[in-house]
Amino acid sequence: MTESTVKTYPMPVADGSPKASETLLDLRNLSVSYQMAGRQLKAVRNVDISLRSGEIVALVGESGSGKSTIGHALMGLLRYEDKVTVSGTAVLRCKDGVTRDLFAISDREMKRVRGNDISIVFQEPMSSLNPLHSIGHQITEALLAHRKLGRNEARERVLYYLRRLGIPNPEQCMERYPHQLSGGMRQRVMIAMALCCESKLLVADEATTALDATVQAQIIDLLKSLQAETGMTILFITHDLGVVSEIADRAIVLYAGQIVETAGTKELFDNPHMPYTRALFDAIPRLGSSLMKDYELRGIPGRAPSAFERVGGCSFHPRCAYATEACRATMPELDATQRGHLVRCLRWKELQLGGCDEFAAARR
Amino acid sequence: MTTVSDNRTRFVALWREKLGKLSVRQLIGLTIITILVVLGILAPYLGLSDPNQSSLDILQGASANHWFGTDALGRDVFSRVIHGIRVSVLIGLGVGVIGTVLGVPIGLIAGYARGTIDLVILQVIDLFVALPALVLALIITAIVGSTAINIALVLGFVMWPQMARLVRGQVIFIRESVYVEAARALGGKPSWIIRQHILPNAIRLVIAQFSITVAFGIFSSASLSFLGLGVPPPAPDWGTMVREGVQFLAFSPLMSIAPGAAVTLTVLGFYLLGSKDD
Amino acid sequence: MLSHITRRILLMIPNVIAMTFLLFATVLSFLGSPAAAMLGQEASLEEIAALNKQYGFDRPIIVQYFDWIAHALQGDFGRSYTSQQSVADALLPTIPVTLELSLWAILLAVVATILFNSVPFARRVVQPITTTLAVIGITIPNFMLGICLIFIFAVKLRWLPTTGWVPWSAGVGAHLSHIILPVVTLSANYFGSFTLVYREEYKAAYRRLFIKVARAKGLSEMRVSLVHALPNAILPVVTYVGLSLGPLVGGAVVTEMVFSMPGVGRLFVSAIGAHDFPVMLAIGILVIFGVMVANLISDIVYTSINRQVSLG
Repeated sequence: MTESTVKTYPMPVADGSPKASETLLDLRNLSVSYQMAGRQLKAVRNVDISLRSGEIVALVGESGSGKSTIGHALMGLLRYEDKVTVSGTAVLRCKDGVTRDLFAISDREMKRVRGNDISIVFQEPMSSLNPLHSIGHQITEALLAHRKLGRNEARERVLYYLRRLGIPNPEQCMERYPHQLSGGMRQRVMIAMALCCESKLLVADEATTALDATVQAQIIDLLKSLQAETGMTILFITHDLGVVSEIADRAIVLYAGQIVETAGTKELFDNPHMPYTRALFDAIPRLGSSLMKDYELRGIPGRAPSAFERVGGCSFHPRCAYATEACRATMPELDATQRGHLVRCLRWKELQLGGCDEFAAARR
Repeated sequence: MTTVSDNRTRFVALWREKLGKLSVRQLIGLTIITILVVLGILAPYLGLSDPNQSSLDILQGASANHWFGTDALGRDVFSRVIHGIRVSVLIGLGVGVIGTVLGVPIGLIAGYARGTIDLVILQVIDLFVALPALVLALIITAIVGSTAINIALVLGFVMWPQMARLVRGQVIFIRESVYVEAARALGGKPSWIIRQHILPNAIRLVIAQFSITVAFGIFSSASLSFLGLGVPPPAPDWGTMVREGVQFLAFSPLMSIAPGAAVTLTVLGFYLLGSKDD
Repeated sequence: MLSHITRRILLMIPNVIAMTFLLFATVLSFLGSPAAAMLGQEASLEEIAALNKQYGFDRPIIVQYFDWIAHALQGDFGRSYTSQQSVADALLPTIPVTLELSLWAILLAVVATILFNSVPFARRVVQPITTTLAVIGITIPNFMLGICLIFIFAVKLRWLPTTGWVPWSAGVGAHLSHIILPVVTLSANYFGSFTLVYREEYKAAYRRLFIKVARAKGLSEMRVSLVHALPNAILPVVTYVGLSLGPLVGGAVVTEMVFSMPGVGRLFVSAIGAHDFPVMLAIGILVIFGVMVANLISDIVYTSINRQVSLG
C-alpha cells in the first residue's frame, strides 16, 4: 500500500466547544445491524461522535445499549463477524498525518491502523491474554506488529511500559504466563500492550468493570496520568456513572443503540435533561451516611429493549415515568439545550429533573 | 369425511415435513441407502446372472456381458457386487440392532442410577472405546466361527459403548430439565415438555447413532472378511471379494475395486444419514 | 497432580488385568482343549489328557492366566503351535515395523489436519474440500484406499513399489518409497476423525477473547490463526490421539495385510488363520496393554499441560 492509494478526507470544523482543539476521530452516522434468523437487528442507530485530541470521553449505557459494539466497530473487529453490517464513516487522523475512513479502508490497511493508531482494552483481563504464551511474548508481539525493532530494543521498550504501568519486577513478569498474574496485573499488561505503539486513541471497553474497587481506582488513576503524559484520547466505555464522574471530560449516554444525551461531565451531572440519564443516577448504588441498611440499589423499572424488539416513538417511553401519548408516537431528535449539551427527549424543556449532587461533589 | 386423496395429500405433506428436517448430508445418505436397498431387494429379479454360478470365462475384463468382468471362478463380478448388498447391509443392520439393544439399556441404567453404578459403567465404556475393537473381533470371530450371525454379534458387542454414552447423556439431560422445570413449578407440566421436545430429540439422536453403528458395522465386517474371516463361501461378501481380487489388481482391477467401492459407498450412505452438518 | 497420576495408574492396573483375563478366558474356553487342537482329530483321549497335563491345560483358567502373566513378565510368551518357534522370537522383529507405520500415520494425520483446518484464507473453498476429504477418510475402509493407491501409484504410474517392506539399512529412499503408501492409507481414517475434533476446538478457540485482542494488536490473520488459535486447539487433539490408538491398531492390521508388511498385524492374522493360540493370545494381550499404557500417557500429558495452563 502506497501513500497515493490512501484516500484523504477533509477534517470537519471543530464544533466550537470550549476546549476546541484538533479533531482526532469523527464518527458520522454509524449504524450496525446484525442479520439474525432472517431479520435485520439494529444494534447501533445513526450515532455521531466526534473526539478531539487529548480528551477523555465516556460512552455510557446499560448492557445491550450498543456501546461495546461501537468500540468494536472502530477497531474493525466486526469485519470478522458474519452477518454484521456496519455503515457510516469514521474518519481518523492517523499518526502519519493521513486521515482514513476506518470503515472504507481495506483489511490490510486496517491491520496497520489497529494497535498503531487506535488500541483497545477489553473488559475481562482474565480471558484477554492467550494462556499459552508468556506476557513478554504477547506484548512484544503487539510492538513488533508495527515497529521494526531489534530484540533488545523491543525488550527495553516493553520493560519501560511494564514499569510505567507500575508492575513490580517487570523482567520477571515478562517470563510469566497469564495464569500466574492477578486480574489487576493482567489489566495493566493489557494497557501496556495497548500503549506500546503510542496509539493516539485508546478504546477502554469496560476496562475496569471486572476489577475490584481498589484495583479499579488504581487503574483509573493510572489511565488519567498516562493520558496527561501522552496526550492521547480515551473513549471510555462503561455502565458505571461513578467511574464517569471520576475520569471523563465529556459523557455520551446511549440507550437502545441511540445517543440520548451528551454533555460535559459536570453539566450532565448537574443538569441532566433526559429522564433516562436521571434514572441512571438513581440506580447508582450508594452508601448511606451511617448504616449499611441505608445501602440501596434502585433499578430502573422495566428493562432495556433488546435489538429484537422495535419500540415505536421514543425508545425509552415504556420505562419512562414522564411518558405521554406524544412520546409513544414520535421519535424525538437530538436537541441542543446549550453549547455542547444535546438531548433526545420531547419534554426536556418542561421537565425539572434535578442534578446528581453527591457525584458532582465527589468529582475531584 | 376423509377421502383417499385427502389421506394421500396428508401423507405426502407429512413426509415432506419429515424430509425437510433432514440436512443436505442426510438427504444424500438417504438417497444412497434407498438406491442400495432397492437394488439389494430386487437383485434376484434384475435378470443378473447367478452370482454363485462359476463358468469357464474366468478373469474376463469388463464387457457388455459382464459389466465388471468375471472372477477367478468365472462368476460375474457385477452380479456378485449387487447380491453382496444383502449380505453387507444385513450384517450392518444386525450390528446396529445388537449395539442398540445393548447400548440403550446400559445407557439408561447409567443415567438413572448415577453414583457408583454410573461410574462403573462409564469406566467400562471408556475402556471399550479405547480398546482395539478389530483385534478383539478378529480373535473372537476366529474362535466362534465367522457366520453372519456371529459376526454381527461380535461387532455389536464391541460397538455398544458409543450408544450407551449417548443415551446416558440424554437421560441426565432429561433429568436435569425435569429438575429445572419442577423448580420453576409454574405453567406447563415437565412431563409435557419432555414428551413434546426432549424425547423426540433424544430419539432422533439414537436413530442417528444407530445409523452410524450400522455404517461402522459394515466397515468392520468388510475388514474382517478382507482378513479372511468373512461369511463362508460361496455367499457374495464384498470384503472377501476384495481379498480374492487383489492379486489380479494389475490386469483386472474392477474385481477388487468394484466391491471395495460398494463397501465405501454403503458405509458413506449410513454415515451421512447419521451425521450432523458442521 | 501427582495424586492424579497415581490414581490413573492404580485405576489402570485392575482394568488391564480384567481385560486381559477376559480375553484369556474367552480364548481358552471357546477353543476347547488346545491340546486337541494341537494333536488333530486322530488323537486319542489319553494322548490329549497327557498333553493337557504336560502343558498344564487341566488347571483352572485363573491359575493358567497368572502362570501365563508370570512367564510373560520374564519375556516368555510360550511357543507357537505351528512353527514351534518361541513367540517372543517371532514377535520381536515385527514390532518396529508396526510402530514405525503407526507413528508416521499419526504424525501425517495430525499435520494434515492442522494444515487443512488452520488456513485463515479462502475458507469458503478450503473448508468444503476438507470436509469432503474428512468424510471420505472416515468412511473408506483401509483395504479399499490401499488397493486404490497401489493401483494408481504402483500399477498405473509406476512411481512406487506395489507392496513389501525393506528396512532402513537397504537405503532411505527404498525404505521410504515402500512405506509411503501404507502410511497414507492408515492415516486417512485419523485425518477424518482428527478433523472433526480439531475443527470444533479451533472454532471454540476463535470465539475466545484473546483472538480479538490479537487482531486488535494489528496482527495478520495468518498470525492470529497460527500463533493464537492453533496452539489452543491442538491440546484436545492430544487426548484424542491417545483414545484413537485402539482403532489405529485395527487399521494397522488391515494395512499391513494390503501391503504385505512384516508387522505385528500380519503375524497376528496368520496366527488366527492357523489357530495358533499362543501367538494370538500374546499379541492380543500385548496390544491391549500397549494401548492402555499409551492412553494413560496421553491422559497424563494432557492433564499436566492443561493444569499448567488453566489452573496454575
